[in-house]
Amino acid sequence: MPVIVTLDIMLARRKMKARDLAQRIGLSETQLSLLRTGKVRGVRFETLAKLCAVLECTPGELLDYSYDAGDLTGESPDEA
Amino acid sequence: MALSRSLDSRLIDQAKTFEAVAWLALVLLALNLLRLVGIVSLGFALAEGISAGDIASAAPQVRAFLRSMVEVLPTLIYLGGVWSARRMFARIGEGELFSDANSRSLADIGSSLMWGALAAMIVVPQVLAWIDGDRGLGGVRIEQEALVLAVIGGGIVLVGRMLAEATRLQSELDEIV
Repeated sequence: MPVIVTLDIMLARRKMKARDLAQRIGLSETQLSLLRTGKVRGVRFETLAKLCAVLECTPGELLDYSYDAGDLTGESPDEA
Repeated sequence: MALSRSLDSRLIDQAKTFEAVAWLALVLLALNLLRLVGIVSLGFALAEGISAGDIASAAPQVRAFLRSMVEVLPTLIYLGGVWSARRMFARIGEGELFSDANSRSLADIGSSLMWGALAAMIVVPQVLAWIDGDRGLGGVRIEQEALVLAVIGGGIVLVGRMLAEATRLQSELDEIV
C-alpha cells in the first residue's frame, strides 16, 4: 500500500487555501494538486520542510502509512 | 538534473547559432544536388538514343547517367542528417532539451554521418568501378576523413541513446516535487 498524503486534512485545520500554500512554498498549483492526490513519485525533504514550516506541523501529520508486505517486494496492490 | 539559468540561455543562444549554420549547410548541399539537373538532361539524351533505336550509341550516356546518380548518394544521406540537426537545434533554441524527439534526432544525425561516410568509402567507388566495367571488388576506397566521420557518427548514435536515458531520468525527476 502506498504512502498516503494527508495534506488536505492539515490544510483544512489551518483553514488555508491550496493556492496560497503553493505560492508560499514555491510549488505550482498543479504540482501541489498532484502531491495532495498522491500522484507524485516522491517528495524532496526541502519541500517537506517548507510544508511543515508553513502549516506548523510535523512530517508525520502530512503523511500516513499502513503496513503491507507487498511494499517489500515491490508488488502493487493490483499485482498482489 | 536542473541547469542553471545562465547555462540555459548560453545553450539556447548556441542552438540558435547552430541552426543558422545548419540552414547554410542545407543550402550548400542542395546546390550540390543541382547536379541532379544534369542527371535529368542525361536522362533525356538517353531516352532520345533509345527511341532512335540505337541503344549501343547511348552507352556513354547510360554510363554518365548512372555515375551521376551514384555520386550524389552521400550528399543525399548527409542532407537527411543536417535536416535532423536543424530541427534539433530549433527545438533546443525554444528551450526543449531533454525530449524523445531530440534523442531521435541525435541518432538520425549519427546514422547519416556513419552511412554517408560508408557510402562514400565503399558503395560509391565500388559501384562506379562496376559501371566502368571493373568486375572485381577493388573499387573500395578507404579515406581517413570518411573513416573518422563514420566513427564519430557511431559515437553520436550512442550519445543519442544516452540522451534518451537522460530524458527518462529527467521525466522521473519531474515526478518528485
